[in-house]
Amino acid sequence: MSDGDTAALPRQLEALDREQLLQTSRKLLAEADALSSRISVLNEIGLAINESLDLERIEHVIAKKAKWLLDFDHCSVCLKEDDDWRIKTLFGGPEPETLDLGKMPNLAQVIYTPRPVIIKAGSESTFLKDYASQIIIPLMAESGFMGAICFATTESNRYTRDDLRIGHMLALQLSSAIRNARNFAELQVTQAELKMRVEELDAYGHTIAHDLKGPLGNVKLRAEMFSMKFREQVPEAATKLVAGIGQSADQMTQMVNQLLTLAKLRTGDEQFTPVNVRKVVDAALERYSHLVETKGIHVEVSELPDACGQAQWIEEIFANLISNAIKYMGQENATPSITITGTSQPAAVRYEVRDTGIGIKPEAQGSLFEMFSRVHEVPDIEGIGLGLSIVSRIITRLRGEIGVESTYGEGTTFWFTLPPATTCVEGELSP
Amino acid sequence: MTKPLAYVVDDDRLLGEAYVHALQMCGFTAKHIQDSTKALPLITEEQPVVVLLDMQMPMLNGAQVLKALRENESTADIKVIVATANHLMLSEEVRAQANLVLQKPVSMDQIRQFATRMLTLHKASEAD
Repeated sequence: MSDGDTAALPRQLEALDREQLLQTSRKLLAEADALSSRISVLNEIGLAINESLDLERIEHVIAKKAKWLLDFDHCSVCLKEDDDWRIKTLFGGPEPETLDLGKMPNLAQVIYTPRPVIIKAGSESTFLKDYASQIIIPLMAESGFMGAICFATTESNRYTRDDLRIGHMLALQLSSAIRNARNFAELQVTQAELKMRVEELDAYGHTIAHDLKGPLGNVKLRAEMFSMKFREQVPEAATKLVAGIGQSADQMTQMVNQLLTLAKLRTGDEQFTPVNVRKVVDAALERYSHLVETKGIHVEVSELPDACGQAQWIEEIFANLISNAIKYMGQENATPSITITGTSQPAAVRYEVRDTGIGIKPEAQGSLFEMFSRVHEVPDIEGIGLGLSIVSRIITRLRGEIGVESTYGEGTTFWFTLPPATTCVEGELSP
Repeated sequence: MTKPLAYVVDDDRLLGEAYVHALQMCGFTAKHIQDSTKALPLITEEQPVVVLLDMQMPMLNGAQVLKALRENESTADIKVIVATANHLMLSEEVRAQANLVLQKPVSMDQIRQFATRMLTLHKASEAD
């Protein structure tokens, strides 16, 4: 070997190395490129299946798009549903038979381990006996094993470890999509059940109200008739006893009414319309006209701006506040009066129901709007303390606020706000 | 002068009887119809001054009776007082068609109040 030869060798080697290096680099680059495009496809599929909450739709996307990731002639999904198994072919044949793990040893292995398997040259599975190459990957959720996905092709030695990795990544995406879809389906069932229960409860409440009010009305009316008709003929003690029956009937009626209103408040539609508040106040006053008359209460109503809300509920607010004002007017009130006023503010309308009644002690004002709170130690006043909590709930629902100002011994002013009528657009409250 | 006629339509027998008593005490001749399907022919025939009408009844409910009364020319002007267990459930149509809506239970005071009003109206119309 000449000097020249020995000198040429490293150069040749160098040239060879460079060529190989170049080739290897090109090959690696091509692989990286392929991998990166597979990963971006994977992301795309992941996004598409996680967008849907419908299991069939998710399976459809997998069947249609997984081809971009892996070569296969068959794709099937096996899912555990409650305690049953369901197997479904998403792509290619055959149509699934009933799931018999004895005849599907590879699937059984995945289910019991649960680890992915790669089959290179034929399987004992009767279901997939025509497919030489298979990848079966478990689908896992935090609650545990959920099922498996299988890709298969008739060509043997078709799948590599890389294919398995890609399949595994797809399985991760699919698992989360299936879990979301299942949770959503469960939620929908629960929601429907809940809605039905609430409806049943409302129907029940309505029936009870009607059924209770019949006998109650009868008791009340007969007690009153007795007092009216026989007052002169029976001792005073008898009239008093019978009057007590009437009062108890009143008390029970009010409880039934309040519980009913609370139940109705829980459901109900959310349609907001402009409300003629003056009309509503007149209707509320009409309910108590006989009490106002017999107690000689002076009622004054100023001009009232319209509001955006629901007429029946606004009537309920005023009716409750008026009823309270009458109730707590005090026995020896020389100038019993109720004044109802309203003012327009930039972002709301404000109403006030002012009375010259017994007032509320400052320490009691805080708990006034809580359920079942009764602050007055006034005997012979019916009620279970639901009235103001109902009012407060209605007002919250109508997107307003409520408050109270009171001087003990002088009177009470309840105020509340509602959205102005101008915020109502075609029956809807504008945002 | 004969006492004016009032009809009570309520499927509750005892309550209906109590209303009849109460109306009688207030100066009416009152009759109770327990089966609401019989209300329309009886009211059409006897032309009462006022009808006290329950809302929730089997077969034919109060809203249906009221609608039929208003649609029938000979009964369209008869005064109808609606007694409802839950006024929140009352439709706008019923509110518009009724002369007065009372929340159950109806008190003697309320009956006396509307009875006095009806009797005054009745006397005025008889005098015409």
